[in-house]
Amino acid sequence: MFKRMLVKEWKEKSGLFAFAMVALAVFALALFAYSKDKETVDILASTAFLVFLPVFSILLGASGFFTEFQEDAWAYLFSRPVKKGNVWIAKYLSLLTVLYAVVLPFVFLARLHPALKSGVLSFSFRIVGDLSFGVLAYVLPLLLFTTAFSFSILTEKVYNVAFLAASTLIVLQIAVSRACILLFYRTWFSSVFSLVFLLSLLIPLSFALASAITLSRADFSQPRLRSWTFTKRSANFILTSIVLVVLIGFVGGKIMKERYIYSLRARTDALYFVTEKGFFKFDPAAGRTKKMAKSPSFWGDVSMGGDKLAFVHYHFRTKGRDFAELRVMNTDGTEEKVLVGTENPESPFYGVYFGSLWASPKGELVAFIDLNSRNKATRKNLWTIKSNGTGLRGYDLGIPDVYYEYILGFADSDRALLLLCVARAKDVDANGRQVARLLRLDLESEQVETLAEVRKTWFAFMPAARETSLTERLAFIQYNEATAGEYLAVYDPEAREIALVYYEDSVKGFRWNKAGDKLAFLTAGSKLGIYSPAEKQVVKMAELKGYDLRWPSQALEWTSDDRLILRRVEGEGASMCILDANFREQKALRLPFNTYYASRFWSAGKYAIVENTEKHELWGADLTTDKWIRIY
Amino acid sequence: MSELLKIMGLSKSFGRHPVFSDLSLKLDAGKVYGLLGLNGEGKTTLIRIMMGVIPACKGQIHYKDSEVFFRSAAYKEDVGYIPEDPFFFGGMRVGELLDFNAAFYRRWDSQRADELLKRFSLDRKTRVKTLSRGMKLRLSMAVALSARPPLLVLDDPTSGLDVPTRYDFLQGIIRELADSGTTVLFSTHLVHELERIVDHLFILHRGRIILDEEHQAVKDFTRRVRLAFPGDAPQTLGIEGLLTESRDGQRMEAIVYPWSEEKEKKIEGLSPLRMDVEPLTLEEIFRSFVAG
Repeated sequence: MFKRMLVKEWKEKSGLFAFAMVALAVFALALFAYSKDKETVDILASTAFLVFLPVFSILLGASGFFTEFQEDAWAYLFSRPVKKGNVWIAKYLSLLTVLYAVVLPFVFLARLHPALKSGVLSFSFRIVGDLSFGVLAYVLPLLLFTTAFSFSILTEKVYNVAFLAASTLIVLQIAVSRACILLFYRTWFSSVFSLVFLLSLLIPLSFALASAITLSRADFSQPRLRSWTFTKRSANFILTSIVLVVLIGFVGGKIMKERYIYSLRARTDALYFVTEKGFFKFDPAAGRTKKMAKSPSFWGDVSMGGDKLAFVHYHFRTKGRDFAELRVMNTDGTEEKVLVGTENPESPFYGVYFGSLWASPKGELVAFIDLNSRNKATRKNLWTIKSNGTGLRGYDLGIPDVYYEYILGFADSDRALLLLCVARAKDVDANGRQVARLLRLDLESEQVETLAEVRKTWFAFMPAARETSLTERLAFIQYNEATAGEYLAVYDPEAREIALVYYEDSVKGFRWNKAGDKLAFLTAGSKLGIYSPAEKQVVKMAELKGYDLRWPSQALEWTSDDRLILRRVEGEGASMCILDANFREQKALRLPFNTYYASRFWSAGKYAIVENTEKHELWGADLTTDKWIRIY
Repeated sequence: MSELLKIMGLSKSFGRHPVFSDLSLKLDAGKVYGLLGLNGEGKTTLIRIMMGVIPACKGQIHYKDSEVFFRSAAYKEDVGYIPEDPFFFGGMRVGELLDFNAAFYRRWDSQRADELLKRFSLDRKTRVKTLSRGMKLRLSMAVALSARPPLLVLDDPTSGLDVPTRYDFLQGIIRELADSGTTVLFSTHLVHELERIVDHLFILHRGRIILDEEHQAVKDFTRRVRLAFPGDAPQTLGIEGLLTESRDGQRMEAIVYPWSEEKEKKIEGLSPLRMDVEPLTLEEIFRSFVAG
């Protein structure tokens, strides 16, 4: 029966298949014609995989029972000695062969094309659990086809079925993804994106089951009854799927609860960090960790200045609009207050997302980026506000083609802001480097001055920005195209000059000391250097041996008393090594956990601190007694 | 004669509109059954339920002592079905359609299929959609008979066909099938067609089977009585089984089922001047049954 059904379906869909083959030929020709133009090739592949194949899948599925309706042949099929469910399965499988006879050549062609290997096919969708585009190229047509085929038992009007199936699937997918993300914030279940993907599969499967059951059990001669049965069954299966996924989420959340430690901010007298449970402060003097605030939803960026902590607090709600609040509190957790929020429709920040955040060194002023304001009438996207909640002021940087602005710190006694403006992705070179401009914004005159152009991978900007919390000086790694080297540079806002610190070897990581008067850096040649801004020169330089420098931006830290912390791998474990000013190793403290990954070190007071990034724990070593305590 | 199919307490409604309720009938092997009813009385619905195309709301169907459910498939091997409008996949050729059907039936007889094609003057290469209605009916017949079913169900297949084709179909094929022991259920509203071929009659009317009887018995026991009285005719004949009754001054006419000598004597007791008793054609009998 299946063989005959296969032949029948192939004959009926031969026109649609031929059309797809023509499209494939056009796609192939276009790929070869524009093979050197990576952008065009990516656009072609995106069009093929995100437009053509989905539309083809939906139309193929929507026309599933077209012939049976058109020729009233469903009664004929049903009167044959075969179970109706088998008819459904045979038709489905037959059409599936048609679908993949079209999808597979597209995928293989795209995979063969060298420009696409590192292009669109390698792109991942975070929303479905880091599913690569390549996998999605197989799965997306299946999901769309299955849904449309399931709906095709309702009517012979193919375009109506296609529209109904596509819109229902999209709406459900959005709702479900959102629900899963809310579930994530409720349960902190680490595999929540797998749940989204699971539900993405379960929804079309629900439609398919409902469709097969409707065909098997419902009175096919009554369109309303048929539609009602299908709707009812679909709703039941989808609800069951959602309940199943929620249960997995909650049970999984209990068993596999995700732990997070992020937004660590250290200074001499304290270490602040955020976890899924709240906002914590570790007091090195007392050796205790205290929870300062609960975390009902999610914490955004955190910045410290003086005795103030500024942070963004996101509220994810099951009903109504999510919103965020920019808050400040004292570093002891008292006097928490909202500076601006996105909940009030009359607020200029209604519905926006807060980006980069920075508190001034004395904590009197907070600057933040409003990610959504570029499309608004004000065009202001950089704001400052006093930590007492007054003096809100917006700035329009007026820079075209900006992908992302990042606040690097205050300068000139809070009279200026240093910013990094990353250009749009189209300017990314073959090595993933893109141009960013180092800017200085005068907060009084609103004048914007370009200090330097930096070419670097996007993520490499982040550590640079984070190093300047206690100094107005700004360190960054500058890529030199001529020598292909990465040089360390320091901007001094007071003198308004950029000093090239080191250029004999590519610099891979650096770290300011607590006072901001010494800059330690590591080079590709395993050298450790100390730069003194006051002396405007490298004051100490030596080659390191035996230390783990695999992740240079995480391999280095200063203690509160200006000693250096480095890491050494010993068997399955690792040690935290303390080096004096002459780079002599004073002590090596074995980490209280085994890990392959190089966790970043921190320091606060007499403690050198390390994060177990696998188990999300914080451990502190008392450098006076060499004893470890678990901070979190 | 062995019982082949039995329907018990079958009910069907479309939404709030009942088609029939508590309907029962049985088919014995080797007989030709006529299912009569006006248009829209539910003949097609009943047959579609029998064929498992649509579900019943209530009731049971037994085939050879086994209950048949809506989802049952196996018993359809034994039932050939020829609908009012032979529905096929128009894109197929005649040969492809036969091959397609062969995949569903274990008892499919390809040799018989070829014989039937030859007999019906059908070419395997002809596209189904180019066939006339009469040829489609023949194709439908070929499809149904190639599976050698013990029971053949025909849902008003001859309506719209020309007279020679209808005659050939009824007198030739159906009679031949009946003679070879195939049970046939023939649904139609063109009653006269069944006159010469049917063994047993069912009349479906207003949601009920109002007649379930051997054809010959129905013919033997249905009579038209024409009466003339010396004065005004009585209001009623006052006997049971009056299908129709009409008065016109001194004259009176009635159709009675079942006719009996006892009823004849009772009418004679009314002292009519004249009394004529005559048999009816099947069409007249059918009209009488559905007239009330």
